[in-house]
Amino acid sequence: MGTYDYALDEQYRKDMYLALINNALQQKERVSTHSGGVPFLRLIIAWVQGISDSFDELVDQFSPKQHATSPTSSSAQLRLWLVALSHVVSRLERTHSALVEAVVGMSWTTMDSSFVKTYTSFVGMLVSARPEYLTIVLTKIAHGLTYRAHV
Amino acid sequence: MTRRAVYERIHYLLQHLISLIPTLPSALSPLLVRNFPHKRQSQAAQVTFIRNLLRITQYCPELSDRILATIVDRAVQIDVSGESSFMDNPN
Repeated sequence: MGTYDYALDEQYRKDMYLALINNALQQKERVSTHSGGVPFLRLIIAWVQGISDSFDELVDQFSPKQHATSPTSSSAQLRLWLVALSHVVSRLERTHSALVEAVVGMSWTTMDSSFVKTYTSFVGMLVSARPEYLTIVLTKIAHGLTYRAHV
Repeated sequence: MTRRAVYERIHYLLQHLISLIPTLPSALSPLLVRNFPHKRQSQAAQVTFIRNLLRITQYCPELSDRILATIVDRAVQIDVSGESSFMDNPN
């Protein structure tokens, strides 16, 4: 019985998130059927069962209603999703625009600082690898500098 | 979380993106003009946006001229239209 290896656990979880994302992207590239938002555990089950709507479930991770149900657990999960997504940015094409828009559109500015760091890094990688998303990112930024964006 | 902290995070992101994409400022410029609050919006709305524009000039001097021109242009529009609150109370 040793001490709990958090670093190793985080590595396993990152690998799992990455596998889930790769699966979701592949599914999306083939076919797309919509389902509503689902919690994280069901996403894993969907992966195991190979259900094809896992992409939409991934999109829902970043949607506002997900935050409403479990705000504190979301931040750590979302951060790991973003870390995993960072590894596949070059594969985010037009068919995945719903996912990119969900990430760009989320309320990131009020999250904890380690999330903000990961988010900033992700957006940098996104616009570097896929310049077609630059306009949507800058639009969000310009709007975010207004007073009304944060009432 | 204060407004100032929120805006600082946005500036942090923007600075990071500018460091990666040298051509970004010219893409950003028209979007800043488009989001400038209408002259009928509150003083808080005007001041907030102008403060944020000036903050951008601190890390993106390339946009200084255009940003300052926009601010002056908008301030003149407000002044000429007879709306009193903004120019009489610049704070």
